[in-house]
Amino acid sequence: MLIMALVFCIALLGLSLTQTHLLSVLLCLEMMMVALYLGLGLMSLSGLNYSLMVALVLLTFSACEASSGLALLVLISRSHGSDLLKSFNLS
Amino acid sequence: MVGMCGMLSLTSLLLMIVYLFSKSKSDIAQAIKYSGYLNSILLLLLLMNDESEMLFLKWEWVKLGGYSLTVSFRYDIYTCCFFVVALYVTWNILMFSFYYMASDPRVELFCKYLGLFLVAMLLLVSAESLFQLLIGWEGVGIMSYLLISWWYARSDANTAALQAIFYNRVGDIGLIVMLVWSLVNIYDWTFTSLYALSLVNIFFLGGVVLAATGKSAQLGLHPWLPAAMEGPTPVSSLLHSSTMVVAGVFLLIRFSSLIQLDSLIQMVVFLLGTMTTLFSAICALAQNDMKKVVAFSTASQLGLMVTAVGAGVPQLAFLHICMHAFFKAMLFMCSGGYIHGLQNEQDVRKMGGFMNAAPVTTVCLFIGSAALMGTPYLAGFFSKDPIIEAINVSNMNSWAIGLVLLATSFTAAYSFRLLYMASGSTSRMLVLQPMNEDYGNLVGPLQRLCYGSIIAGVGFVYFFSPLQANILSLPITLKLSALFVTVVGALIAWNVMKLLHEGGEVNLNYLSFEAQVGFYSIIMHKVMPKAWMNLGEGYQMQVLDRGWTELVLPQGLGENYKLLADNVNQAQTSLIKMYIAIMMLVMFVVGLLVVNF
Repeated sequence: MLIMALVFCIALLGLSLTQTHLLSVLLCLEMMMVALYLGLGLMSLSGLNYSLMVALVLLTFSACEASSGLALLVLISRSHGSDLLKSFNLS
Repeated sequence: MVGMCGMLSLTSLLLMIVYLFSKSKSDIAQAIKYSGYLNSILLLLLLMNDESEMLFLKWEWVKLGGYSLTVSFRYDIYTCCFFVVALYVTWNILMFSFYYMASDPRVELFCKYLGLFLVAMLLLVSAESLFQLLIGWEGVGIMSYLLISWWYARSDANTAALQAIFYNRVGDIGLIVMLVWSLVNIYDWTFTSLYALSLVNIFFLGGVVLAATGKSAQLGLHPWLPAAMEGPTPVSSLLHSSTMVVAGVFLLIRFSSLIQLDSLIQMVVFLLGTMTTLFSAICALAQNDMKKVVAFSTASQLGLMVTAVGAGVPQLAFLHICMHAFFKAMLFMCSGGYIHGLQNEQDVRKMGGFMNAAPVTTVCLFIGSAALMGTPYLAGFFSKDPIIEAINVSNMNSWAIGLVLLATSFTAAYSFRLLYMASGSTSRMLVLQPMNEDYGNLVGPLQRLCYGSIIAGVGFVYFFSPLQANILSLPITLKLSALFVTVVGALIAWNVMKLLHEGGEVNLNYLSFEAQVGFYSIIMHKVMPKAWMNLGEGYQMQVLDRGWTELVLPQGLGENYKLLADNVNQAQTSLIKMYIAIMMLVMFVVGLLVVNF
């Protein structure tokens, strides 16, 4: 469980400190979801009677979120020409 | 009798002031001539009456609480003799200035200035109150400025006049210290109460010495006197040889009884006079401008007068003032005659052979130089020789005595050099010069002053019994020392001139110690102000104001802020990338904090 927390943090870092592509942001987001899912799953192994239903819900929601993220990516790359982070200027 | 004498003198002074407002220059000359007659009658009456001094407190002017300012005159033997001499010399100089300034459109104003100067000088010598002395002192200073810069379109003349004002002003500090001290300590400014003091402060006497140094061009404050030769020759002969520059010595003579109370100040006065004498005599040997040679000669004689005061014989110093006035004014007038005859050429290297071209002037130059050297029984002998005898038998510094004797020999040397180069030897002037001395206004004054130079010595000594006992027993070497060194100086000068100036060659070295007046002018007027300005501008302005202060406060802080701003700017680009990073980082940090607390 602690290891999953570590993975979560690594993915968070990878998301925030990404340099070039927006796709790597989405990938790191997925990695965060995976870490959370695995953490939830491993929690049941520590001897507590814990329901595993929430893990399934989490997984579903992460899939939806990934697809909406990809849709956003497509829209962005249509309007800005690419998915390079340095071309996303607010002004 | 006493009152009548005073009335006579004041009448003459008032008459002169009235006539100064007239437009005609001959009126001014007549006024001065008759004032001269009146005042010499005054002197005769004084003699007959055998009174040594009289006071004439005239008019209460301003009341200041316990003390009141008065216009008060003091006529003692010094004042009366000086009145006679000064008026005689001034009358002659006025007549000479009719000749010299004949082509000047403002000659009436010139005569008026000379008259005004005379009034200020007479106020100075007849002052009983130090305040009146200050009025006369400042008056002569101002007239000196106006007269030196007579040809005011010439920048050298303006510089010289300003120089005179500056150096006199430094001396005036001494005079004001005197006034302040006497007001604070004895609540009175009159000479009678000052002479009654038995213990005098060093500030007061230091003020006297400083005032004399400034006005009489002693060693520390001397450069203005040679520079004052920028003025016309009548100005040089009246102010800067006979009358104004002796005001400082006159002050010393007035306070000589107080100076003798303090041995340190007496020693200072003695040494100051000695060094001035020698220094000026050295510089006179190397000058090429005729008027500057005579100016340095004046400075040397002033040093001798101050030395006499320091040696304890102020009456002899006063006698020398009177004698010196005659022959020095005549020397300046001879220079003026030569200069006019050569179309304003003052350099002795371009003169020569005037013995035949201008005989009267040359003869007067010779007699004046002989009197200056102390030739027996001419005017200078009766004052200069006793001074040197008195110095020889005094218990002062013997090195200083040696310097005075050396200066005396140099007097003979530079006089001889002047005579040789200006009137002897070969003629180096340009041909076809309008050298003409057939003017009554040139020859008349020269003649009169010539008679004065020859007879005045005998006359004064015959009519006035000395107030202080003469030294009557001296060894032969000391008694004849002045004569001996004079003869030696003249002989050496004759030989040197013969050797060096055989075919009319001249010495062109102008960078030597003597020719640059000991480098004093350069150091005080250029090197030292430049050093101070470098310290001020170079250090203060450039290093501090434009350097460190700028760097530390405005510019330096700006640089620091720029660095900080550069770093902060990075977070404020409008790129999404940065905002994602910041958001995630903040969440991470907040999450850590929440977990820990």
